[in-house]
Amino acid sequence: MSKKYFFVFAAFLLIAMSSCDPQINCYSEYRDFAVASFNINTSDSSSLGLRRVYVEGYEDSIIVSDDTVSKVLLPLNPRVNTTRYVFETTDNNIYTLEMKYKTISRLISPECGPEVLFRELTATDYNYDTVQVFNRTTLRITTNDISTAPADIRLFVSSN
Amino acid sequence: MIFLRHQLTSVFLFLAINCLFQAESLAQEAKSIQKQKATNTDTLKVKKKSEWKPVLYGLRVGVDLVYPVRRIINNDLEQYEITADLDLGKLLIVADYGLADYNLDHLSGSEMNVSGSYFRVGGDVNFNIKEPRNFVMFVGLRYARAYYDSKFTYNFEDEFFGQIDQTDQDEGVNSRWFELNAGIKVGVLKNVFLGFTGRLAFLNRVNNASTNDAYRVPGYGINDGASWGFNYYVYYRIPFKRLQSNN
Repeated sequence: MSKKYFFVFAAFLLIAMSSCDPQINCYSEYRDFAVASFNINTSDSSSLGLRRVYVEGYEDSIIVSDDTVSKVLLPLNPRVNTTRYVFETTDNNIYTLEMKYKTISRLISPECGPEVLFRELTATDYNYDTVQVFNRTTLRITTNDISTAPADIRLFVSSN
Repeated sequence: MIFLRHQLTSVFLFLAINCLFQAESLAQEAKSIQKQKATNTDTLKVKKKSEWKPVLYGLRVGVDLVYPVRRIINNDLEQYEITADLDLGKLLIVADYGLADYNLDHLSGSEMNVSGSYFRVGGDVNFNIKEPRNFVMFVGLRYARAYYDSKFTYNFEDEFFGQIDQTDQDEGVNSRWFELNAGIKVGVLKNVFLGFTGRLAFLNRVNNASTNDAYRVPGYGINDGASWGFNYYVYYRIPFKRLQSNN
């Protein structure tokens, strides 16, 4: 019996040597931006006329220019733990918002490469009337359509 | 390669199921023999209880061959593991200890190093009642922990912020999980055994990782949901009791 099983075990060792890790899909379920919505006079999701929106220190990279929008995607800087945004409105107001967050890097797989996850989003400095942050967990992609994406941050503006 | 993985999983499941069926059929066979004996001897009513009492038959110590041999093909994964089991008859008390050093890299030049140690403790039930000392067919559970450091040097092009070059390092990370194990151990020479263990590791909880997520956790495998593992051991058995019965 022993000799017979020895060959069975040798076969298993060969299979074990040739077994590989599961193939991993390079699609990431995480996102590197926050979704901000505007609320004028506490109404539910209003549109705001914006001349331009940019990240402080990256004035050349405009997020929104000359548009009336109800939601905006705010890119989060993976190098640091805070990103400051400037919102210039069509009625010549300038709003600022500083977001703080934690980052965690990961290797999706040796084939797919690295990515950075963002979590525990908080608003640390702003001159909006009110800022509400809803998403404090790791930011994940829930939909590809921004118009239906739930807001992580609600920015309240008074029209007076 | 996927085919081989599926093949391995199928064989593992087949053996696990086979263990259960064989144990069941042998138990039924034993029951019917007992019944027959009871009817034949009306006057001699021997009350024979099949209560299991632990008897220390021996200690088996072994080393894993999968990773050392695999390292010849793939130099990125260095792992060494020793195992020991106390043979108490139907029950085996098992402990594993391992050291791991993984270096995983990507075409971009990103590199992750995870190094540390791990252990598993648990018990197995030996389903082979015909020849349990020389051929162990088992299913068991493990509790496992790993202690490791992880360093991730990465770079990628961010759409908005440009080139990102960072190094994140976490020291003293620990992880705990549970495992469902099944496998066999066969005596091939006097006191020398060969055996394999298939593992399904689950409920991995990582603590103290503040900057990066280890892709592979030592002893657990890929840190993304439940993980399959496979070990192939060579054991040496130190007998404590002369084999007089098969129980």
